[in-house]
Amino acid sequence: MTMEFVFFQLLNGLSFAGLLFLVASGFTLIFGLMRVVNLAHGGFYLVGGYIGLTIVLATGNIWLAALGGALAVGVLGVLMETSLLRRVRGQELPEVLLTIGVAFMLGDLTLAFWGGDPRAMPLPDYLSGSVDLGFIGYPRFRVLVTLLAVAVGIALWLLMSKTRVGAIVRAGVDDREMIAALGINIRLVFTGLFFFGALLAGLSGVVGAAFLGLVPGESDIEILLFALVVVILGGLGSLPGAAIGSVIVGLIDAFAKALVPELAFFTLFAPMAIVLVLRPEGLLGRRA
Amino acid sequence: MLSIENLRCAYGTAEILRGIDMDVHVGEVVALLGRNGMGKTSLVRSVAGTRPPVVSGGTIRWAGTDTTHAPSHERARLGMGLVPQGRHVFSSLTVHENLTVAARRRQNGWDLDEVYAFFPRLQERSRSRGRNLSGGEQQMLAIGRALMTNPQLLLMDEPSEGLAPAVIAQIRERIQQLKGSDIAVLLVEQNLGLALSVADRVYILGDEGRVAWHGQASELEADDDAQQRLLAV
Ligand SMILES: Nc1ncnc2c1ncn2[C@@H]1O[C@H](COP(=O)(O)OP(=O)(O)O)[C@@H](O)[C@H]1O
Ligand SMILES: [Mg+2]
Repeated sequence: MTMEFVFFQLLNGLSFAGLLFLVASGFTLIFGLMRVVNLAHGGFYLVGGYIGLTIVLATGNIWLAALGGALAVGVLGVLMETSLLRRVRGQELPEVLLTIGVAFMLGDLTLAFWGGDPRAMPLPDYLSGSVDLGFIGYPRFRVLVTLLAVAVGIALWLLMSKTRVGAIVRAGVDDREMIAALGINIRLVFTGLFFFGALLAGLSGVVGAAFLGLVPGESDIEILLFALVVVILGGLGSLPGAAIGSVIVGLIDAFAKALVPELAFFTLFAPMAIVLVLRPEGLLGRRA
Repeated sequence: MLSIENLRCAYGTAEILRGIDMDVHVGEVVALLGRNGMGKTSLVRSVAGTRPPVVSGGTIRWAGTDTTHAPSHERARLGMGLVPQGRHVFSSLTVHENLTVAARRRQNGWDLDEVYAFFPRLQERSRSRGRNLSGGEQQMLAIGRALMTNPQLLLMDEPSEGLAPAVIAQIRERIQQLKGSDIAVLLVEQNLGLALSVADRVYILGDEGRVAWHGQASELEADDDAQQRLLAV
C-alpha cells in the first residue's frame, strides 16, 4: 500500500462521507423530533436528482438545478406530511408502512417519468476536472462536495444550537407535549422540519446525481441503506452522530471497495451490527 | 375567570371525571385536593389541553372563550401557564434556554431578569442543563418557565412533590407573592399544610369523579371530619 493509495482512498471516503451526511442529516433531523423513520427519504433523494437533472438539461445551470431539486422535494415532503403522515401520527407501524409505500410510489413514478436508463448529471467545466493537492490530483467536484457537507453541517449546528427555532426543536425532542403547552404549535414545527429534511434530501439527490449517477429503482434504495447505517451507527436523531457515522461509513466503503470489493456489504453492515450490540443507541445517540 | 361546567373526561373507555363544576377567579389561589388517583392531574390536563385524557362532556371556559376542545398551544396563548406534575423541564436545554424558548412578552410582565430575581438559584445555574438540576431547582425552573409565558392562569400540579421542607417553604413564599398579582392560580397539592397556607378556596375530588367538598380554605382547616373522610390516607 503506497501513501498515494491511502491518501486517495481517504479522499474517496471523505467525499462520499460528505454526500452521506447531506442525506443522513435530513433523515436524522426528522427522526429526532417526529420519531418517524422516513423510508421515503431515498425516494426524495432520487426525485431531487431527476428534477435537478431535468433543470440542468433545460437551462445548463447547476445552481438552479440544486435550488429547484431541493425546493421541489421540500414541497413534496410537506405534501406527504400534511396529507398522509399526520393522519397516523404516533402509530409506528402505519407510519413506517406509509413511508415505504411512498418510497415505492416515488420509485415507480421516476421510472415512468425519466425512463429506466442510468443517467448522470453533466457538470460545468469549473466544477469538473481535478485539483492538484500537492502530490496527487483529485476530482474537483468531490472536494467541493466535502466542503459543502462541512458547510451544511456547521450551518445546521448553528441553527440547532444558537437559534430560537433550534431551541424549540430540541425542546420538542425532549418533551413534545410540554412545548405545546407553552404555546408552540408543534404541528407547524413538524411540518416545517419535514420540509427542511426533505429539502436536504432533494439537495443531496442533485449532488448525488453528479457524484454517483442515477439508476432508477437502485439509487434510492442504495442511498437509503447507507443513510440507515450511518444514523444507526451515529445514533438516530443526533446531528453530530450523523457526521461521525458518515465519516466512518464513507471511509469503510472506500477502503473496502478498493481492497476487498467482494465483501462490500459485510464490511458495511458488520460495524453497524457490532455497534448495535455494544451500544444500541448508537455512538452519539441517547438512550430511549 | 376559569369556569368549568359539568366536565367529564376519560382515558379510552375509563371515565375518570364525571361532572366537575369549578371556578377560579383572577387574583385568587384555588387549591385542588384529593387522594392519589382521584383525577386531579386529569383535571389539570383537561384544562391545559394536553392529551390524554379526552374530554367527553361539559365545558371549560377561560377569559370568555370556550376552550373545551382547543389545542393546548392555543390555550397557552390565551394565557394559561402549565407547571406539570413531575416538572417536565427540557432536559437537554440549559436553564436559560428552558426559560427563553417559549417566552411571550407582555407590558410590565415577566421577563428573564424578573424570573431570575424571583428564583436567584436559577440564575446561578443558568448554564446548566435541565437534566443536571436538583428536584427543587427543576421545580423552580418549571414555575419560572411558565411565568415567562406571562400567564393569567397558572396551573400548578403538585409543586411540592418530592421536595425538601426548605425548598417547599420557598415555593410557598413564591406562590404567596404571585397571589394578588393579576393572575389566577389553580394549585393541585397533596401537602395539606402548603395548600391551606396559600389558598383562598379549596375543592376536594372524591372517588366518584366529582367534587366531594368545596369551600373556603379556613372552613376546611376547621373541618376535621372532611379532612379525615376525603384526605387522610
Ligand atoms: N394515561 C393514563 N391512562 C389510563 N389511565 C390513567 C392515565 N393517567 C391516569 N390514569 C388513571 O386516572 C385516574 C386519575 O389519575 P390522576 O388524574 O393522575 O390522579 P391524581 O392526579 O389525582 O393522583 C387514576 O385511576 C389513574 O390510574
Ligand atoms: Mg396527580
